[in-house]
Amino acid sequence: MFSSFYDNAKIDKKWSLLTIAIVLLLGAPLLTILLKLFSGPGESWEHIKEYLLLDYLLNSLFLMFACSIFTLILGVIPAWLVSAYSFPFRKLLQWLLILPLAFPNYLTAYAYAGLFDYSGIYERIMVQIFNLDHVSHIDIMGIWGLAWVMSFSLYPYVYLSARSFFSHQSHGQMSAAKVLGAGRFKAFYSIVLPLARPAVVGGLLLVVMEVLGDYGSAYYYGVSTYTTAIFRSWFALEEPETAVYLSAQLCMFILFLIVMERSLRGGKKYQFNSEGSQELIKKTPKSHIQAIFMLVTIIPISLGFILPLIQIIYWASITFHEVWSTSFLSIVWSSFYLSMITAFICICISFFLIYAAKWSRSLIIQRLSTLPVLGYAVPGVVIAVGIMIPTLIFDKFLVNMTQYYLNWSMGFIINGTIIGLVFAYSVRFLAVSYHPIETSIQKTGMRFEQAAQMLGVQRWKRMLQINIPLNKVGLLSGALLVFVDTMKELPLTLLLKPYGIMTLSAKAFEYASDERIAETALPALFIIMTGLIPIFLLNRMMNV
Amino acid sequence: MNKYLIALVHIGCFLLTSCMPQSNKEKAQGQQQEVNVYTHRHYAPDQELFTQFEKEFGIKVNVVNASADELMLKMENEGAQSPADVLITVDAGRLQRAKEKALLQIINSEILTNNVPGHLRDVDGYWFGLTKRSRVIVYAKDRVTQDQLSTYEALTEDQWMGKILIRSSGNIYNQSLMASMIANLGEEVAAQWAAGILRNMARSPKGSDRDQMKAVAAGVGDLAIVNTYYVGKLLTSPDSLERAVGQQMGIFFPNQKGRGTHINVSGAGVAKYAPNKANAIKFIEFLSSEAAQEIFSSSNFEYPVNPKVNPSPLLQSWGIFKEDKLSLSTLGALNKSAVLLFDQVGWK
Repeated sequence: MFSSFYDNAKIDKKWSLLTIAIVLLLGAPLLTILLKLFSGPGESWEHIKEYLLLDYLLNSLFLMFACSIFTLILGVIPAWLVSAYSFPFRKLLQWLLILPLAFPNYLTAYAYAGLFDYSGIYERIMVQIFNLDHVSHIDIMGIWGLAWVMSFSLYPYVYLSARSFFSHQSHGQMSAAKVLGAGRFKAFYSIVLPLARPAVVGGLLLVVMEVLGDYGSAYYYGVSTYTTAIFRSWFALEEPETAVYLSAQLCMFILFLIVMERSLRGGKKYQFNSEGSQELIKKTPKSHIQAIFMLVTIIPISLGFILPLIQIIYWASITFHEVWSTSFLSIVWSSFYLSMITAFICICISFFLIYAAKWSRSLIIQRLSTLPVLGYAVPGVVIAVGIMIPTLIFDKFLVNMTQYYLNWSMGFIINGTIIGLVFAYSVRFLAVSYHPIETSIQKTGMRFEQAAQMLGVQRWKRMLQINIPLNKVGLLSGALLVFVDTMKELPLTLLLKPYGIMTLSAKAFEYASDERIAETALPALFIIMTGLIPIFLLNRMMNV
Repeated sequence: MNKYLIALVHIGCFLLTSCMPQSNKEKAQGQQQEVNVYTHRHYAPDQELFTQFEKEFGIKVNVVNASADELMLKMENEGAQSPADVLITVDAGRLQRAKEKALLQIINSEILTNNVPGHLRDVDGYWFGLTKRSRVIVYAKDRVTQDQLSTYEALTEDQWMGKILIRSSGNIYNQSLMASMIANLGEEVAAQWAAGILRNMARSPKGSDRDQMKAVAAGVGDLAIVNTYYVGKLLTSPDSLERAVGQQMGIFFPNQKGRGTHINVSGAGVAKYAPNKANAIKFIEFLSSEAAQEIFSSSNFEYPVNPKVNPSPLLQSWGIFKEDKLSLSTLGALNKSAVLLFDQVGWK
């Protein structure tokens, strides 16, 4: 029986080849960047090392740790409360908790800066409503403020993965703990939480990658991070080599984090029995406890979503007549379908890679299949270079070939077309769909498939007919995350979008780069509203 | 299963049809005339001007909007196949860099040489300034008087300790100002100047030019160094509080008794491999025309480069000033040294 655990070698080879092909295709941009590690940095490296690096590195590390701790608290606790207890408005709160995801995080940063600005909403309320003579100014624009803003806009990554684990996987463990006499809190703390680690860490990794790759918010808040060094060496010091070198190092760091997480997990593969998919029975605590729980879940929502939303609605209301035009609807539509296509492609690829790795005998294939997730850690502009270099080689080759053999002068197929844009998005956001799907596939384990395999069902069929339905929630949450991220994406959109297509984020950028922050609010509101649709749908499906 | 297949096929068809390759060069020879503009400017009046150009000349304007650095990167990678016809940036330094990277070509246009004064365009004709912006001192009218101010250099004096607001050194306008300091006074003095400003800063640099003025209005400091058109934008902001901030600001043009106030231009050049070169030239000529220059000045509060056009009434109310006639190409050449000095003195 054990020898039949894997399919025969011929099938395995086909799958391996396909995996390698996909990894090469998606990995080409990353490899382009990683290869630069070997060519070394430019001459401004010494300058950067002497004057900037240490400071910037410390800032980045601080942000990474601070945001990790905050997002863990903000994500895991509410996830446990909404999964394990029942209290008023629980259903509503549990989907409101995802909403900060719909905000581009540079926008949360702007909104917070606006709220606590001199004569911002906060100070005006204090003066006008509470009649205070002197309001002490809250300076949000600093490293602590940045950590705060980032944590409140990124915690849903942790929340989503933790919640999907708690609500569908922890029933069995909780019952066992209860039989053995442990209280609910103890069971959570000593059994459920450790088991949830892979899921939570997957979400956390996204947070860390997002924090390290951010430039816009940090720049605005005057905090110099590692990414600042990348931009500085590239654009101010005119040395792309050094910038790419720095990005390659960032890639290696993320790779190190991923490998470390894997080895900490120690190759343990948790599989849960079918009872696991049963939903956790919710306990109804005493009413004052219910009120506390409600309050605890409301905090991340109000600070991560409602507060910045108030500022954005205020801005949108004063700039509406200036910014609104009917062309807005077509902009919404192009953002929407670009994000849909990207989401679809990303989950297909992630699903295939993870599934193929799971059934592969080869350790190399298993390792290779995680490589494409690195795209998320690299700042958008840098990944844009990684994308442009190989795709332009391909495009130019094609143009020259058709010119030479067919005497037909064609344009680029990838660059400046939707294909190129969607490809770029997929390279960048694969990681976002990868983690929820990976967690989900790990949870389902091998039992159903082994049974099907014994019955002679082919691997393709097993993937499509058994695994897709079993991992529906994982796939959907992957798709959702990619969707909202694509809606918000900026540098790749600007550089690679075809003429005549406008997206909401590009529209918002037009104003932001002109320091007309208030005018960005209307396109931002549309980004948020368009993001709400899939969030709402996903939440319903997760509850089924 | 079938559902998935059908969906896949649909998406495939959609992708194929929407991405059918079209040749830029081929299109240019066809009936629809067009010009592809890579621009770092993203102001509403620009869009107005583009539409006007389309109407007047029957040439369609395709716009790619991103920062100049990113656009240059795109052009470099695209090489000879680049569809770009025109590159527009918001500072001369970037145009100079584009010239050095061989991304632009020489343009011989009498209209342009007539419309754009010598010091506001490239000596060899690679690029032409379209609008001027000056980096000035703004002050809180209730706390500072004009006669306390004189030069950029004087801002390092003790009386301004903890009073100056200026954004980070990552900003190109600050880099150009620093480059002009280096060109005029030498590296050593420029470094001392930067250190002096750093010492006198009211807070560590952050935010935008507008944020610096808001901080002045709130009393965090007394002076800010900003570009003039941001004052205009505050004064016409939809937010009443921003307008109030604008009204509290006085504008001072420094170094009037010496070399003049530091200026920079936003300008354009024709891409080296421009598939629609003739249209590109027409386009830049149009932007330097009197009609277009008036729009730049009245809607975007930038100073026109065309000497035949008077600045808008608001700009005139700030007064006429003597500008630093330093060749703008120098700013580009010294940009890197400026950044290195900023880092050495620790101006974030």
